[in-house]
Amino acid sequence: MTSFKAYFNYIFKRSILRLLVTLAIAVTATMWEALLAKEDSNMQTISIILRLLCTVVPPLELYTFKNRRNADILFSLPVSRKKQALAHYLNGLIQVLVTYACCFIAVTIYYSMALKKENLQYYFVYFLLSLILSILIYSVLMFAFNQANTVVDGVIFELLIGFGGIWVMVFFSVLFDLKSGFIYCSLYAPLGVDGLFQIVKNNSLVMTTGGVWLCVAWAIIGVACLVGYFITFERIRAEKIGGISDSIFGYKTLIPIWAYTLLATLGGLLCVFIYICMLVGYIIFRRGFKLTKSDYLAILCSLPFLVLGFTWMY
Amino acid sequence: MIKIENLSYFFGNYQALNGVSLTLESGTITGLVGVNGAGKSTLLRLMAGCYKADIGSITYDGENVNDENTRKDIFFLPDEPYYTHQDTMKSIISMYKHFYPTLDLNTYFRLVKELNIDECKPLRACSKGMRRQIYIALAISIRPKYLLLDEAFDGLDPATRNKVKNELINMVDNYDTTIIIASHSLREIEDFCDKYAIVDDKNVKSCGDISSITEECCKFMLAFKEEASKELFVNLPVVNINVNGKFVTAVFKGEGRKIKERLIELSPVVLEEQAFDFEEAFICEVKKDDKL
Repeated sequence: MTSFKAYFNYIFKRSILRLLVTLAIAVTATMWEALLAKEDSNMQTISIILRLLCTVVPPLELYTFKNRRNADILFSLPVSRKKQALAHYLNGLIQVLVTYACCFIAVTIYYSMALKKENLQYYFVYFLLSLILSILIYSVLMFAFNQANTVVDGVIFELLIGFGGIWVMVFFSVLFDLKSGFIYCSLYAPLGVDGLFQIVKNNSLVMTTGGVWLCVAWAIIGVACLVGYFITFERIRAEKIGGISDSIFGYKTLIPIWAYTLLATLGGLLCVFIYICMLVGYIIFRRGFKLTKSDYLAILCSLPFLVLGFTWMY
Repeated sequence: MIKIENLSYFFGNYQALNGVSLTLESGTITGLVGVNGAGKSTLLRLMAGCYKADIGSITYDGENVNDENTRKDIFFLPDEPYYTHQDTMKSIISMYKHFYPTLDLNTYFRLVKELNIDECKPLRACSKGMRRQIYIALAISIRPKYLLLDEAFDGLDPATRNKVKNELINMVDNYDTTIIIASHSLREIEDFCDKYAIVDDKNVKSCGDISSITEECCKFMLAFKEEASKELFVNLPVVNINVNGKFVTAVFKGEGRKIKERLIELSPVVLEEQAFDFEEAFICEVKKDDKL
């Protein structure tokens, strides 16, 4: 048995119970919504489940690597880090896709049999497109979680990256006076109520030039995060596990991005609150009140964005 | 054979190891000793592949430690081994048997049977010593070519220590296993190991046969009529000296007989050679820079 197969078998067997529990909860929730809706569904519950899966599975897959004691054994096993990274990525992906597919099949069977709906092609188009999107979201969040040295930091990174796109895109939309495209900004948004399902259902999957560029941009981000996940996993410094999460893709970048874009877009109204949040962010990052020069510099660099926020407002 | 060449490792800006070079022959038991924070555990983790060397290399029979085929021959038992909330002494085998085909379940169950632990009792509910015994049983059952142990005897009662030592010695005799054990218990090291490596000041300061380090030096207790001073011994190969009024205890490098002849020339009232053990050799080695 190859080392990859051995490792994958081991982690897969350990996660079977988790898969069954997730599956039971997810299918029950999806069917509950379908039964209550009686008529057509906008796939709200199923899309929430998919977003939750993409967010929850990365910590469940990688939490063992966020404990120094575990890392000692796991990294000394006769299996390369690349293979470990791939095994956890695939195992998590199986969890996400199998659970999602089962929910989808259950709800589709219900619609076609109980409600005698015949025209269900768009469900399948939605299913295929949402699968691609979920792989993209999952890859980005696996990368985000992997940047952290603790589970808590990992979850914070996931949320900051998952929702961070909104503010970045709002900032650029205001800057360049763009009127559309917000829907695709947050990592989770395409799976939202007004997202992909409505577009597919209304047969309005017409790609504008902007839409194409957004798809290309997201595809690049997804692939970059996937590659980044493998590279950063390979380079994990075991001695840092449990310590401060000082990855360049973590707090160091996420706090300024969030703060600057929020200040530029909402700064006029909420600047004091945003600055407090920024400071709290750095305190969480450093696990204390002793901030470094680079932290103060990042806070100082926010001033032009604050001015920009006031300029746009008045 | 394990060959460590010019190994350096950094924790951020702090250099934990600086240009370590060491060769360990197969079928030997080497004790890795050093003061707290000297770099023993870091060296052991680098040897196990948990950490990747920043500079230098570690090879096992010419193969790099980062090669997964090489790591099949290595088993690392850290001071606090990994187990999940649900793990029992039975369930931990599931992970290891996937990676170590040499894992002998009969040996494992024979060894753990003596512990009288319920097979289904979670490891978290076992005492530290019990857990350690379970993992040592696992390490012995795997029969790796290279066994790396970090504070292996910590938390074990004296009877179990002896039993474990015998099992490990059998491994070396029967399977030509190479054992490297990091420990603060120097008496244990002297008892159990045939080689030593002293890690100090980010490097391996001294290494070799345990017997040779204790034979290289000798220890004398002297008493003088008048107050003694360190200056009296300036022309002697002093390794470590302790002057207390008229009394002097000193460790010298060299043959005891020859040193004694030179000490007689100082006209002490009392001159007595004392036993010089590995613990004292270690203290002398790490205190070398402060001597006289």
